[in-house]
Amino acid sequence: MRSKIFLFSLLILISTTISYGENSKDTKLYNKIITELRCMVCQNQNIAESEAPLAVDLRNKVKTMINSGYDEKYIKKYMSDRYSDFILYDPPFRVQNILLWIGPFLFLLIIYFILFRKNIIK
Amino acid sequence: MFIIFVLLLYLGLSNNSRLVHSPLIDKAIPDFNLPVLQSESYANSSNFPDDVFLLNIWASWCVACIKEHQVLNLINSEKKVRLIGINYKDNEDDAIGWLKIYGNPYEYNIVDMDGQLGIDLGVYGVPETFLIDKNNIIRAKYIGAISEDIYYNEILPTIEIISDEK
Amino acid sequence: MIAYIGFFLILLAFLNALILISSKPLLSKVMPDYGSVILSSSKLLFPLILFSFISLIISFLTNDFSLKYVSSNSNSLLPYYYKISATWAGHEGSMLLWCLVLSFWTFMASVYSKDLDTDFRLKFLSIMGLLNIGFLAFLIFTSNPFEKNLSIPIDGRDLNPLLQDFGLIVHPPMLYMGYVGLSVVFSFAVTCLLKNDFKPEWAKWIRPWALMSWSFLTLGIALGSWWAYYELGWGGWWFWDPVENASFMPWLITTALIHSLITCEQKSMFKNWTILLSIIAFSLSLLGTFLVRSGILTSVHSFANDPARGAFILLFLAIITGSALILYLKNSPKMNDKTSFNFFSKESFFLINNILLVTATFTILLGTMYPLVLDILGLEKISVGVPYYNSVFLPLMIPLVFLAGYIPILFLSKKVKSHGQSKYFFISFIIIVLISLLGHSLFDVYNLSIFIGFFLFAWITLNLIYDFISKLISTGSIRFFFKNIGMFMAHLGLALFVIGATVVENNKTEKEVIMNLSEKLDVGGYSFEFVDINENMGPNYSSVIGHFRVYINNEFITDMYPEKRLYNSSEMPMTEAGIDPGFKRDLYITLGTMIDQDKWSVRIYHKPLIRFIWIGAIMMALGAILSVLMKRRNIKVVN
Repeated sequence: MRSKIFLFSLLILISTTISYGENSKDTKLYNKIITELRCMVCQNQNIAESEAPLAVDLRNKVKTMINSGYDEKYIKKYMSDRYSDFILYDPPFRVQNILLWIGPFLFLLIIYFILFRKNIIK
Repeated sequence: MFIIFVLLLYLGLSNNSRLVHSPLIDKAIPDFNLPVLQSESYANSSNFPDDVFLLNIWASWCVACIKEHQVLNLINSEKKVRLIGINYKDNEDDAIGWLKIYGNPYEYNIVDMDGQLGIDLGVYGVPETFLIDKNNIIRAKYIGAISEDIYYNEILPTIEIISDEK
Repeated sequence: MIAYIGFFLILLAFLNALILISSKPLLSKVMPDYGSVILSSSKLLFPLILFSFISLIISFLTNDFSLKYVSSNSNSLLPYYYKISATWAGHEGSMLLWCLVLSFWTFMASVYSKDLDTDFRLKFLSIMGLLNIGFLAFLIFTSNPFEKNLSIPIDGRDLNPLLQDFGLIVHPPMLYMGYVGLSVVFSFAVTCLLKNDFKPEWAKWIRPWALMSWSFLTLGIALGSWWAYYELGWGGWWFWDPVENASFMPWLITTALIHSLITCEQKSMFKNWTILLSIIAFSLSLLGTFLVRSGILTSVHSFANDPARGAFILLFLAIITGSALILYLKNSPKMNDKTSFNFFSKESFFLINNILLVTATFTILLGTMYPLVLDILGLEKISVGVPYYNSVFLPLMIPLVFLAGYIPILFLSKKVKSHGQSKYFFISFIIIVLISLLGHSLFDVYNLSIFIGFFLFAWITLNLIYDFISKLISTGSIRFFFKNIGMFMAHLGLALFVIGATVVENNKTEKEVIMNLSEKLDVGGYSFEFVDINENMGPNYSSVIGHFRVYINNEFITDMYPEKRLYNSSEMPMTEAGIDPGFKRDLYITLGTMIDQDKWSVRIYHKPLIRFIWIGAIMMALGAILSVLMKRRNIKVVN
């Protein structure tokens, strides 16, 4: 049974790879995007690393979308609209995530004042 | 700070939600036009019923679906909610054979052979089930096999609420 | 039988550790020589646990499937070397290894602490004993590797195929040596707090321990990265996986620590800060243990879930770190810590190094814990990965690496300002010329990252060389070089790592295609011919092996054999990449899925300079060891 899924996904794979692999800019974009999307069914792997059927499907989806000329932003939005932000390894800048993004800079400032400013001879 | 941190981690120990909140909730079913299993016709989102129904994604290669199927048969026999299936990335003969063995609780089955509808619905763990309202808006999503418990204690109460809406 | 002995030895060790910690409060009144009890019991722990460990190895070698741990991690068909390594492949056994390593460090601390003041030494060893108790209790009560099966299975379940591999045999012991080595530093810092003092001689005494732990951590992390590279079949070398992060955080903090210890030793400054770093370093390795063992993370590395274990480690972490922090808050103001400095001074640059490292650690902590916390609070599920770290972590690293080329010179040269600016202008000029030449001849692509990478590489290397030569001329002796060879080597290792990481990340070529037999494909200037594919039987798996021929300009270079294995015990196929390693580049092939008899999906990678990453890491580790050895020669301690 399982082999049949493989077969199906492979059929798509063939159909998409034929027209693929020529343009190196697209290849780079493809490799970038698939490393930045999470494989939902795996334990913390991206879809580039995984051979899970869903990961293979999504890789192909990304491939076809790039071939149809969509850009990175559109593709990532496409994925997160369907699979939620969980699929993005690049958490969007939103209210819940604000500490995540500015935390390091706040920390840098605080520790700079505590350690540096206090002890420096003026 | 440190204490809060430890407390949070302690809470985390008992937390094992691997479920992801679907962004599709309160959105319309995505467009599609796909063949119907054991039929010559095609299904698309415009010919869905104007009624609350469950959209169940299954496949003959899916082991967890076998167990879930008993519950689906029960849902079908109770006639409280309609049930439509999506046969996901499957082989037609296998799917038909599977339904012969385990019973066919579905009004009809949409054949999603290449998994595109699955992607549009954000499917990542078959079986998954969507609860759709009269206006064909997705109201809830259940990832994994539905149990009797989920059916009676979550799905039915939700249906009662949303079937009173316009 | 042997298993009973093993368990009995652990119980003895536990008892022994109890004696170790209770002798000071209980015996000091009645027995004037209570110190000898502490000394001998701290030395006795190691042999006890060692023999227990050996008895577990014997249980594996003799296929004693009456033990639960053996039957679930071994199999009679398993080759003997994997049977030995299976001893620490699962949770229980790796905890025993952890205890073994802890007792080893306790032993070493006991042997090499003669020079410390007696009261200090006894307190210090008692705290080590306390840590031993915690982990032994964890082992005995939640993770006993000698637990019996209710009914004896005919054969074992086999070792996880991913773990049947050389890299993963050596990876955990190395990493544990590092993690646990930090317990020595931790205990030492706590003792200092108890004594309300942190003398420069003490800083000098503890620094080799921090260096050794750091060295093991470096090797452990590098091994893990190397393993992931060749085994996970994706050609990546760092994944920002939470478990990797868990090992990287203590590494970063320890890096900060070994630098701040220098200022403690030479200037008697940053005492409180250094003590805090020591506490945090070990706490982070405990946190790492918690994250990995509790199943709170979903990660490739996670061990089986058991909330009881998680709760235990968490409690232990809370007690150990919590009490150390309380002690710190209480006693650190009493320290005689006169830290003040000019902006243009060694101390100031050292502090910048520390600030950057600590902020980097915080960033990783945040990236690792944030999704977890959001999830626990039921807010949302998010993922934090490569793009986040690239945009937050990397900008912190660039100035840090830049400083790495600058500070050593400042340090060795006593004076700061005498190094005229013209010298640095001159050097920078040479560097940039060099970069252009190198970059041009090696890589066709120009981009800013590669430029920065080469700049930092050349900056560190040339500064070190320049410094060496100018010292050689001014002193006329090479002794200076040997005294600092460890530092030279470690910083050079960093430079190599930087160049490897930037080049491979920016200039790699990856292709994922369907290939027919005898088809050719060009990747990164090489031509790959898919020659053949054959079936093969291993001792406990079956596999298919592909055969590729590689050419440059129609000239034959090498054969490559990527493999796909199906282990008897597992359903998931494992990829064994075909790798042609080289100094300048790796070629890397993995088999994907079969489409039909002679048609396969294949991934082919060209990875320039990837070896520099691990060569660099090994040099860093060796540098640290060398500097310990050099210090030991002319150390005159203490007190």
